Amino acid sequence: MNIGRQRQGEPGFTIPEVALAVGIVAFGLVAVFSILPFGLTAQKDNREETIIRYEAEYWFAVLQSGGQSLEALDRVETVELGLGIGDVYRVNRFDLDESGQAAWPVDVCGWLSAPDNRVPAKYALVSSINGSLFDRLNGARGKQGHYLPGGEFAFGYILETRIKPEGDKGTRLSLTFHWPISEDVEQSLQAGQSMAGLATNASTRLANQKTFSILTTQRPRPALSYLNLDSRQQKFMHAGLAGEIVSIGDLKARFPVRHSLKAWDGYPRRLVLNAQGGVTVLTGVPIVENGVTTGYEWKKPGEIANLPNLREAMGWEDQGLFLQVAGQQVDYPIARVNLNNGHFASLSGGGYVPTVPAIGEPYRISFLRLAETWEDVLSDFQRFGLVEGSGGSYRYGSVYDSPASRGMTNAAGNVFGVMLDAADYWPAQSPSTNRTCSAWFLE
Amino acid sequence: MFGLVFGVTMNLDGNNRRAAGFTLVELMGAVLISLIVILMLYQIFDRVQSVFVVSQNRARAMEQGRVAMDMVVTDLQALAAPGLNDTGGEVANIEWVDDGNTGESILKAGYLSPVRPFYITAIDADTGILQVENLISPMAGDTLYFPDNATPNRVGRVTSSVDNKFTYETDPDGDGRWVNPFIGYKGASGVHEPEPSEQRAEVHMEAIPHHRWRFYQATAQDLYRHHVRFFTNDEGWRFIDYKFGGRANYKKMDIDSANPSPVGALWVYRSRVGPRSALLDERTDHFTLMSYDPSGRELKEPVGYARVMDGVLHFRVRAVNPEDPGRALASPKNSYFTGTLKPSHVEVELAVLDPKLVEEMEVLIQQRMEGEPPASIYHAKLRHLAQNMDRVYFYKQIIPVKGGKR
Repeated sequence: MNIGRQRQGEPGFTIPEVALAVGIVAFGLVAVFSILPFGLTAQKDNREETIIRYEAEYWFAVLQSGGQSLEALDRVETVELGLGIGDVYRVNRFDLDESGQAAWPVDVCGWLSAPDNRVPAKYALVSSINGSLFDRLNGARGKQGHYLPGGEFAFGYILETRIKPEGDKGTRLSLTFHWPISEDVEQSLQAGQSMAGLATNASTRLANQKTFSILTTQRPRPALSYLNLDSRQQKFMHAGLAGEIVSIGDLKARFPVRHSLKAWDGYPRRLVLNAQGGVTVLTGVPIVENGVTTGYEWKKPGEIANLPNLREAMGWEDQGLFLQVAGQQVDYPIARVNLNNGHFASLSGGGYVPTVPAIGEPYRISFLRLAETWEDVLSDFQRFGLVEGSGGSYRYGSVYDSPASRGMTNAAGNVFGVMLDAADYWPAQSPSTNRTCSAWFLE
Repeated sequence: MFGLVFGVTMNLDGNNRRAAGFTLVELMGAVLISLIVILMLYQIFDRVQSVFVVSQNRARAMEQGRVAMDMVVTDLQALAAPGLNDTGGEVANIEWVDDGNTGESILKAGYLSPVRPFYITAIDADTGILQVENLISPMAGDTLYFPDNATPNRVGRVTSSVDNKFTYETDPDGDGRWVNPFIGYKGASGVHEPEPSEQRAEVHMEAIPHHRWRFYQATAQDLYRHHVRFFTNDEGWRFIDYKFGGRANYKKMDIDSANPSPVGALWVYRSRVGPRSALLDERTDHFTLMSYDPSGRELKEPVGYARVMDGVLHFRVRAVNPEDPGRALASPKNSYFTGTLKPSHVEVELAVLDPKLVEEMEVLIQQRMEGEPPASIYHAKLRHLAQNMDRVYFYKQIIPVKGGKR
């Protein structure tokens, strides 16, 4: 022991020896420290993968539920649909009004259930439904971003769905999850980059992705919207609530036949029909002698002055019904009623047989065609999937009518919709007017 | 420097002909440096160890939660409609039992949120500014109330807010003269610690604008303590009953009022499998078995139920009526799922705590607050929960009922 005294002339280690020793120790430390982040990352990855598995289970159930109104789907922030290169439609929940946001869960399901042959790319930006409560609460966001500090660290992912019908076997559902949503990813999305581009481009794709796949016996069925219905079908669907059970007697009361001579406002009517399908309704002004009505003078709309209780002969609610003229065995669909003066209307379908101009003819307005019964109509509507039931008791179906779907637009501002083939409407009959579809549900 | 560390003297010509001992100073220096290095390594090790423990707890909680969820899901998938009648009329195929809690929604137990309630930590008597422990304060326009304060000052409105500070006004006389009751707080200038009656404030959800209501709704988790029972038919009929109950006794959440807690356990009763005709007897047997379990004590070996999982915070079951055009999820107090009607889908939510968090709440906080009022203990536990929401795991699953009408 040599306390505090400098040793003279004693040999020590050389610089290369010391440097070598330090180098070896440094290597060891670097090796130890470099393992630490791997361990932590592995734990984080495991946790995220576990959550993703739960999410997959939830999403499979959602897609197979056929459009439930599940508030959990409010955690979907943006949905993006791609019909082809550059033809991308997108909607953000926060850009919708309250009615659009209320319909959002059903829409999300309808968009993500579209078959691949019609909508090849389907993506959604989602804040995870399962996971820690921190993620659930802090991840909630409004239009301006996360409500709470720390929300940007909440777990989220991009969901990609594949819906591939496989004939009689059913449909293969594939879900691919892309995560995590880093700040770069958020910025790219806000800058307008498509989720498809982010997920598929090798240079931008997210760090992790996992695919799950199942085969279900269900098949994607196009959702009927009011666009797909003719005027009469629309009128029928507006007259009842989805799920409501009605009898033919109920329907007769809802759609009464109106005879022009059985005056509803005290004045009988006749009509004049021209060769172009234009209708002018004449009003029977009573000829009164000694307090007794002895006959009627048939006046055109402009010739009537100040008749008490006179009402319009037709209204917008008559559009889509049939006008049947006395002496003509023809059903003329009412195409349009003049909303300023309900004594003028125009018909559709052609083949008009003009009436004698000055006198006019009695007519009636009916929901049914001349040779048609309610049973015929309901049987026809069942083929479209508008009603179900039989034996005098029918249940109203539902029509997909979502305010949110009008927010799904592309860069040109066009609203999303795909023109389908008649065969797409299995097992129902295809719409006779318009086969544009914007949502599908597995059935 | 290197020489000191390795206890050597530099010799730049590369010769070390004669070795000698280290000086005491060299040794002490070396020991000191070694200690520093060991301390640093220990800290790293300790950190890694704690992260490992936290992760292990998380993994365990997630696994246990998943096992519990799988059990509930499997049972609900087999939900069936035996269409039974007893002396009271039609027996529901699935029903929600109200064990005494009443409210707008069946068995709603409250909410958990990073925002509500607000814990006030300081009051500036000069400016009337209140500072909260929460990350952000209530917002201007919110109606606030102090649930622990019985004076007219208890309800008022937030006039301004920045980060975690806000000002508050109230109209104590109801004459339209709004004042800040915290200016001149405690009769002295400066910053004061609030009295217990002013330590907790909550947003008055019924009296705030709709957009604010939506904000709080989005950032809150409603907590439910559902008790649901139903019949299943999967290779035989069975009566099943799931219940959110106390950790040690399914009959009540709190074993005694000195240990109030928002945390409970999920319990289950499964009858024997039998023919449909035996279901009512099985149901009666269950009620009889429950009568053997004392209601006020810890149940060492309960016969009425078995504990599926401890540390449960939230259990909610909702069902979809296939005849409802809106197909909304509901937990009807008077179940309409009778006769042949059964749900098309059932959604289950479960929130579970990691075991360490349960221990912190039920042992550490309980010990620390021994003798304090139950409401204070309950809120201290809620606050601890709110600060550790990354350790509470939430599961949600929508279950298609087999053979259910879609």
